[in-house]
Amino acid sequence: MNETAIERNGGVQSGRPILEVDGLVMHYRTKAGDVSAVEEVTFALGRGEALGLVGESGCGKTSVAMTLIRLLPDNAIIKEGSVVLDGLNVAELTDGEMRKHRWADISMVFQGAMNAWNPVYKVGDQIMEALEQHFPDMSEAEGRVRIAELFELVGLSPAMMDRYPHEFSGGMRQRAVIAMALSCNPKVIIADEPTTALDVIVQDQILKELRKIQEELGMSIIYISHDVAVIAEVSDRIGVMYAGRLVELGATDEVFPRPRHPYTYLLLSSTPSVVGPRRRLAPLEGEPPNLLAPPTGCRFQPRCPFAAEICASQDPPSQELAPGHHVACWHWEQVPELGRLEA
Amino acid sequence: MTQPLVKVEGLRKLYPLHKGVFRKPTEYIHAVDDVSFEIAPGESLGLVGESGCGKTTTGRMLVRLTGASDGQILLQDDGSMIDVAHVDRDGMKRFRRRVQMIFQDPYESMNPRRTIFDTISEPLQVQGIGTVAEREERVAELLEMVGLIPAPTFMFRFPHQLSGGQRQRVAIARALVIDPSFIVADEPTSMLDVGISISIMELMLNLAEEFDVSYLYITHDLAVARYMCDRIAVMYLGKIVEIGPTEELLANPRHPYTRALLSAVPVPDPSSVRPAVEIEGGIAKAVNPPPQCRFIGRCPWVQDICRRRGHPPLEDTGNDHLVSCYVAKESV
Repeated sequence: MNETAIERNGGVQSGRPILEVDGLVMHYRTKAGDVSAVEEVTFALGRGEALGLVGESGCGKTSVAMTLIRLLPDNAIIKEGSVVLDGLNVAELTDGEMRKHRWADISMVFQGAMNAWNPVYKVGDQIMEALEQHFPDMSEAEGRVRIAELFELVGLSPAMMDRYPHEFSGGMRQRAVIAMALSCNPKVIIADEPTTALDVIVQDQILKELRKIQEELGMSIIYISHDVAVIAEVSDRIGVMYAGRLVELGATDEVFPRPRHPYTYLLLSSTPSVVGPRRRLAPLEGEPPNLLAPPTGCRFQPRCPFAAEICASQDPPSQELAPGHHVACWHWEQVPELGRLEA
Repeated sequence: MTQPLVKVEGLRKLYPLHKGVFRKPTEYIHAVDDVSFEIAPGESLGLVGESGCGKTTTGRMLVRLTGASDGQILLQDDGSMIDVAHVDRDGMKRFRRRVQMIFQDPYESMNPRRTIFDTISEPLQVQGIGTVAEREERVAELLEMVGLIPAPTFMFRFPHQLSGGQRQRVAIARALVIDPSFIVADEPTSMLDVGISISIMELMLNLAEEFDVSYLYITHDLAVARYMCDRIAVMYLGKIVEIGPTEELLANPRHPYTRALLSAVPVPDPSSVRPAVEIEGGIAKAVNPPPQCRFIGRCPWVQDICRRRGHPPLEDTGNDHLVSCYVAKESV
């Protein structure tokens, strides 16, 4: 999608990735036991690349994001693995050390953040507060210039910085949230369901804006969404998560026409579309597993139409089928091409 | 069309805006403004639009959860048409047997202290249908039909013991328990994950056939409307701007708003290129709107005629496809 910013090298970016996540395991400790929210997740994010993480609610996509930016609740423990951001392992930093890097090196657009503006302060002043934290030497005038820049970048009139949140529409509030996430020039930005609460026309505007900003600033971005159609549009690569695991990872234009994991296949075949032939969709039966006691073997096995004996006993390792295309399934060869059954 | 099941004519809902505590309202939000459509028996009509366009208000007026300010809603009942706005108490009870609603949020639409059996059998109880044993049998039968199997294990559970998808199945069972002919479904799958929402949609399609029920299916998602509906009506600021058979409307959208809405929908296929969205800005509220076309402020096609004349009437362009636009007619 963004061919100028990314040097494609057989599906793998050349140069050292900006972010490398390796064997990440994160559990939530609860009274009922450990919830295995993120289980051995490995991926890298290239410089200037957009990676989309997709999956059902509770699949761990937001937990991965919260681990990367280290905003986990007290009962969360990073059990294993590393998160290397531009050479620095953020999984090992103390909270105090992390504070210097959060927002400055890695920032996040939280789900629903557009409704989290403090209603009694001007939007610009709220961004100013964030800037002051990271640039204590910045004068107010310099700060206002910076905010004006940011507003223009996200398609807001700089005059809006002296307005209150209620004077902004939903789309404008989300643009301001994006401006705030960009304020400290992060190397990586995580956008968690950035357009979920917005109407399609505004969603289209925001996604276009994000893509433009990404290209202009050569920024690396992780999109998180439950909507495979949104991910298809904005991501160079897609990572599909199921029950805490990354079950498939590959270039968007390879995975979409030819998914190799049964879950990806079912997810894509259960997504309705306004273009193409009208086709019957295959429902995805059952519910995701309880992560307090995940099923043995493959976590998707209880819902999988291709499940066999081995699936219930042994966890499938992630295999690299083609350069950059990883799948964790014993029976990936059986996954058919996406059916286009006429309704 | 044969005799319609539902016939809506000139439906209107105005909400007064009070500027002071004791003042009379001087301004009105035109939430639904002069909306007319028909639904045939067994047909499902999709009502599509952005938030605030009046689609939910329209749906609520059809089931009489919200009173209409003006206009007529007629429902076919044993060959005669009953006027929904002016039914008496007895008529209302009859009306409720024919018309049901499925709400968007399965977490909010059920009494948390009542069992699934209570929830589903309530309409039977209100209508005084069957003995307790018969109701139990009927509820079990419905639970099985909506895929909550084995029924006895679900019957006496409480809503919090069910997942969102299961609750929506209960809501469907509750709507169907008295064999209605018309169901208003307001975004019944928008809070569910894709796989689950498809199974709910499939279930609703199958049951529509089995129970011979018509839907007014309210959704913001054109892809969902395409999957569920025979015809689609597109609403903008209280007005239906375009209505037609689903595939015809999606293949040849005539109204500039429909075109924008359609081209803004992301496509789950990275190789497909969408046409650019021609309109900008967001939807506003229709507070004492000027008489001209509601879309005039965002329309990329505005011409003199749009400024000179009132809101364009819905006119047939052939193929049962109606558009409310002065310019669209000429340009195609």
